Amino acid sequence: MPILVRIALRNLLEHKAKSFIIGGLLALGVVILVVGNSFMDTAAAGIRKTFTENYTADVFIHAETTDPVSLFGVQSVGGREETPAIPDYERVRAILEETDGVIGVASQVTGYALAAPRDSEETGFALMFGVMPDEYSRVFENAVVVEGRMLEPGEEGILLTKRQVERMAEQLEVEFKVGDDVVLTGLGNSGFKIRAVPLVGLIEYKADTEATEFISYVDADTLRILMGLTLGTDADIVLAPEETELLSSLSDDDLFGAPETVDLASAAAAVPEPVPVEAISPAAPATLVDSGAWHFLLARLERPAQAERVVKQLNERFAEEGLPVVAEGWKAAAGPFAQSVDVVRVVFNVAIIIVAIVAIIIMTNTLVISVIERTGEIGTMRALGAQKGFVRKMFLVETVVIAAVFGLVGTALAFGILGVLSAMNIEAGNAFLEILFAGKVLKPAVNPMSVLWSLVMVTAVSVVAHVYPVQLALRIQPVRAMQAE
Amino acid sequence: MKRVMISVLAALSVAMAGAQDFKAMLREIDSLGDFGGQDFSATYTIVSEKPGQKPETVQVRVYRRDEREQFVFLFLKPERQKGQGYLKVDDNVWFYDPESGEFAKSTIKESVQDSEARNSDLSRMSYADDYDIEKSSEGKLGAYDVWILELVSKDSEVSWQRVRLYVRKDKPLVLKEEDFSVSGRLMRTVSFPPSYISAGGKQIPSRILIVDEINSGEKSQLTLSDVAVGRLPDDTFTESFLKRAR
Repeated sequence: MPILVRIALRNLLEHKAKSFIIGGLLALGVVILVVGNSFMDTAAAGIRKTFTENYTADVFIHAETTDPVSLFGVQSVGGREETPAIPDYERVRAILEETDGVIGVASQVTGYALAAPRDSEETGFALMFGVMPDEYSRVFENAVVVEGRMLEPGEEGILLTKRQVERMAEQLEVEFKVGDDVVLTGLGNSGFKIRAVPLVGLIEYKADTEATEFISYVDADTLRILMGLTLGTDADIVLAPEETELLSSLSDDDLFGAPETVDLASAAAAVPEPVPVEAISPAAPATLVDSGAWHFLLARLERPAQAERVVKQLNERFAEEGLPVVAEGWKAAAGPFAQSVDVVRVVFNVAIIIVAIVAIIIMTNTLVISVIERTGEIGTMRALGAQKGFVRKMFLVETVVIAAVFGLVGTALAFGILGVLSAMNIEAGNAFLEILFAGKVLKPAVNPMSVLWSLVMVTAVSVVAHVYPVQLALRIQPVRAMQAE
Repeated sequence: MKRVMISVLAALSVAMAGAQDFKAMLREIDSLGDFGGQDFSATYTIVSEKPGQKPETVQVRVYRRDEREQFVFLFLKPERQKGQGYLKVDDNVWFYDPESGEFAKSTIKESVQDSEARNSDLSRMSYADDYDIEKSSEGKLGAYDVWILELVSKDSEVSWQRVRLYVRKDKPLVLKEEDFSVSGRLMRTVSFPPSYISAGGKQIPSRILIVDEINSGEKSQLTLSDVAVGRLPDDTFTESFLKRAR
């Protein structure tokens, strides 16, 4: 055994009280880190599981856009950006389906509308996912019908959440009844559209996450009409120059420089001429729904942990084939609603940093006292020819040994605590805890990497804490140190 | 002392006379847009520009019965919106979609499709009823001498809480309107260049430019055509008219 380690071990045994105080602090730090990280990992896994099972799935595909996209649309400044449909949808879907590990695929259109019972003067707000009910319910099993029934394939209709219906009844006094029509006014960028569809059922989620309360499901074609996803665009309208002239005016002089002109209106009252029925031509491409238009593709993976790899692989494939689409993970799909997971982790990490700073102060203090106690010993060593570097290394080895020994003790304690918690089978009791527990019973998971990280962190903390006391010890002249003894 | 009192009273009476004048001016401005017992109809062509996008055109036929504050808007263009319309019955505004034959409640503050124009721009409103005059001054706009009136809304039902009007001195005609938010931020500028259509004894601006001051580069031009003032059939202002128009 190298001499430094032997000296370090002897010193640790010699100063048992000091060793136990510092070691105890380090062990406590490891317990907090390992147990805390275990809870964080369990909660993160739970939240991920709930989101992916509720509505994000594991992989999310959308058309390329300049602003970030989630399942709720493009998040642009001002919120007026239209969500583009997936280009070459059939090809993109085929690539997704043949990707290894993909066990289910669902397509989706997203839109917003005002929803009201027929003849109601009050309207509520509806966030709608337009889906094919059969494939969607194979990928997402969390939405359960509590009244009425599920949408049938090819059927026009809407499913609202029970909580949404209850909230609208309470706040807006709007009563939605299963079987009645819901009048939807679409807020698409291509103009307002109204559709009345029957409310076929009310749903509840097995576990709620943010936003689930607001989601309603509607048949995709109804939503496409409301959002203006049509087969063609309107023919250009021919305009006279004076109808666009003002748009290019630059100053008040352009607008108000000329003398006034007055034209005479038609002398007789114009009796409104109804627009002839034929003129509207319902078969115009601009009004025909584009049944192949989808905003998003969602994929369920056999092993969710592989999502990152699958996303990378898909993006490479899309780039190879020149398809302007992007694959992302569940967090991108959840958009602003999954950010609470990151917020909790940031808060926990900030707390850990504060604990680490406090630990450094306490340990530095303890080490200062112990170094002062050992002034004579250090002086004698220096007088006998020990270099400053030797003394520095000696203290460093002492610190690392203490951190390693008590770090392992802390890890063992943390495993013990987690084992006891796991054996206690603590039940979640409510839906929120069920998400945090990642199930009905708390079974905290331990990530080996986070244990290793905890050990590295406490070692680093103790190394930082020992720097100042050692500097202090080395400043004392050997002769003075020996005199003190 | 007496002299002081007299001059104060004189000053006050001048100030009051001035304030009354402006209120009367607002009423006159209102009366230009109020056809009373007559009905008004016109076609508005609205061309909207947004940076990086193709200009969009909407053509709307407007029918108004001001004595009962009723209106009907009927979309003529583009194709996908043809036959859609707004109908004001009592205090409610309904939107009609001919493809589904359904009506849904709308609001007067809603934009006319994606343009800078609000529904309230196409219907009658009253500066005198909806706003108080906070301040007045004089100025020049292009070739015209103008009164500049600062108005504050009386209630929150109007589209804009604060409005600055530039009114021609020679005639009570508005040349420019600046609309502000509650916090005093300029939201949009509406210009009425001096080309008018004379109908029912009144002069109506034939072209209007609306500039969005928040989203730079977004603007709309409204052009009036087929203006007519006269009595329309009563059933023009009913649901069945919009349905029939389909």
